[in-house]
Amino acid sequence: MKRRKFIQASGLGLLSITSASQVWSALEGVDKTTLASAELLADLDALCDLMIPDTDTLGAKSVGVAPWLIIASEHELEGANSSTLTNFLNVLSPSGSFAEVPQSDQIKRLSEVDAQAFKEYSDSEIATLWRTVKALILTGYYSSKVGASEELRYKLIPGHLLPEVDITQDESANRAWSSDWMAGKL
Amino acid sequence: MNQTQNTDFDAIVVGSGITGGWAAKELTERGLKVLLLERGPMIEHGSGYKTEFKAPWELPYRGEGDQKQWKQDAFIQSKNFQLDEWNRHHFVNDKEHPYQTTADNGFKWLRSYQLGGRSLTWGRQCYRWGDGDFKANQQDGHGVDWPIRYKDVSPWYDRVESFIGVSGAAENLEQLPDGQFQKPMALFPPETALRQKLQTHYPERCLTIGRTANMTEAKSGRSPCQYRDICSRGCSFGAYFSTQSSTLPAAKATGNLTLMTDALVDKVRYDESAGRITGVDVINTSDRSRKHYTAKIVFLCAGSVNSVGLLLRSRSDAFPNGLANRNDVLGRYFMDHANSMGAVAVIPGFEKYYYEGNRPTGIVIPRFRNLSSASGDGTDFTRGYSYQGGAYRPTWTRGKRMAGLGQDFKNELRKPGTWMFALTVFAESLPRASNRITLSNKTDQYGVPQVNIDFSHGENEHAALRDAEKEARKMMDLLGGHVVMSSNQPGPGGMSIHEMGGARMGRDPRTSTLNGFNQVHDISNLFVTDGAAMASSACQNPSLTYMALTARAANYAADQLLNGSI
Repeated sequence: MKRRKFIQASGLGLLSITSASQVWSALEGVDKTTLASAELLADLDALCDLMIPDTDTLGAKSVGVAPWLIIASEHELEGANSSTLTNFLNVLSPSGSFAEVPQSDQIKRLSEVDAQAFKEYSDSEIATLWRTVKALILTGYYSSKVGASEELRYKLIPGHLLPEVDITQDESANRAWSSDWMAGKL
Repeated sequence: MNQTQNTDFDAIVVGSGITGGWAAKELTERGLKVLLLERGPMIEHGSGYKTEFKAPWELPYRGEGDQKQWKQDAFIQSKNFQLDEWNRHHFVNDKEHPYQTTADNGFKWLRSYQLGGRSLTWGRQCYRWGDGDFKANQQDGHGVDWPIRYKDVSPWYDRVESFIGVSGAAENLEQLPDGQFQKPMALFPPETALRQKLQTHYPERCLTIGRTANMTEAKSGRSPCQYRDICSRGCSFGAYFSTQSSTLPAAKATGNLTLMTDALVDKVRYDESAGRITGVDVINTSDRSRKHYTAKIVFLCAGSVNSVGLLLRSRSDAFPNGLANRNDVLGRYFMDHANSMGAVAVIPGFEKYYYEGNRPTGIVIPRFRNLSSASGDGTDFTRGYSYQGGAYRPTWTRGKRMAGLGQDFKNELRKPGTWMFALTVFAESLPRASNRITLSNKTDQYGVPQVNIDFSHGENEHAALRDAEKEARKMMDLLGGHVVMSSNQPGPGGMSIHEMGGARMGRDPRTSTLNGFNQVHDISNLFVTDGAAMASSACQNPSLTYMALTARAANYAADQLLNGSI
């Protein structure tokens, strides 16, 4: 369990455990003094991969959401705090690293938790934590360049308003706008 | 003009927001030398909008902002759902700009201190008041009678709309008069359907596109709207009205404007022997130095709370309770619309439609209650309410509330969500003496007394919201909608960001602060033309009326000054 706790580590240490470009891209402009353990990142990668896998576009693990989750939780996005990620992983996988659990068991376990959180609307600790972690992963992914502009559509300057696009006539139009800012806030 | 006065400027305008910009424009265009004072920093049009073109992946917190930091310095501003990482710097630091409230769940004062003030961040909705709004106080006895009527303001509405650019549709409604509109933005299919259903089932109700200061046609070096809906970052296209895009360039073009930022006005100086204002005391917020500037006339356009606060702290032997406050009216009758979420519904039947482009306005359903008389159609409240909102298709953020994992979940979120329809409510806020701005015994970092805001919504507002919720649900039923959320509970005061009153207009100097030209009753060279002047609140967004009243007052003041009457 100790391995999951945040550690003060050097940038070099972090670089050794995941893609440098992903990490430094995610960390650009923020405090880099608090970095994460390899196990924590591996567990978060596993969660990201289960939730938003690679398909015809890259998924959450591949675009480097995991290190951003640490920044986001430390800065209390989505109601998280610096303990949210480790607390969740501790109750999700009390016997050890979630990443080391066979994938079929990972899916089964996380599906159970997801059902508790979003079908039963349980207020159990794990359901509450998962709602927060899931929100963080979604934000990390769909606000990434791939998630926003390849998986979804992103247009900063539409330049026009088409109020009535018939998406049955144009399948490419049946893809959500990540840049629909108002809809994103509601 | 009275040539015996030797002053630094002809006019001083305090505040550079929506009304300050208008005062500066009108006064300079009349040939007056004007000092425009803004307490906040300079933000240049275009180059000052530093986050305007940033993508979410270019921001550390992907647009959501540093929530931990916000708990320290945006604990009030973050109540505004509009606040995000792109526009955070366009709202005040709550830690640096404290104020006091009386109630536990006190007034949320949402503010922007910078050149342009809240004109950079406003909702841009532009609605005329109807003649009934100006008569309401006289008819039901709440508040004092307005000294003006619609006909007095109408030509000034024309002038403002024509200059700033307002898009909207003419509907021939007495309670929401038509104006000088550019072509309207389009309705979405569920909105068109509801408009048609209302015509059949509730002919007194009209759904129309929001009238907004987002242009659909180019004018005066400004481009039409690009349908980004990120206005609060600042708009280099100049497509929505702000001081920077619109009134400030006009004022500068006259060569008569002196603009000073980082300049907090501490006091307005009154000369008892002359019975007039001589100028203002200014604190340079960068180096804390102080300076006095003189002028023949002074316009207060700092926003309702700050203009009232400035008057309250401008005490003198002649006005020991605050400038223009011999009658204990100053600070009282403060208002803000009671705002609630009438209904949010899932709307079936329009799945084949989506949209491209972000419309920077919603719909409005103007007031339909109590139009024939003060409480004439069987309601248990006086005055009325209006709805704003609109239809939309949720994007990926709906995943935060959905079960699901893996490829199926990802594929589901790739598509737009089911159409939703939201109807928010603005209920008229009645003027009450107990809703009041006073001075606190605490001071801010400049040694200036903080304001205390004592505000609560009354039973009339609650009754209006109860009716509004019921009617919103009925209207969603017309579309076969499934209501997923509705409420009749108002948010705390301030959440509508429609602060009004505190230095109200009136006919009688004993019961009001300003006359019908926004002029302090017994100080002829002092004008207050922001929301503080309002004697009632109506139930539509007030900024257009502030602008019209400001333009009217500025031209009146210029006339008076030029003919030697002031």
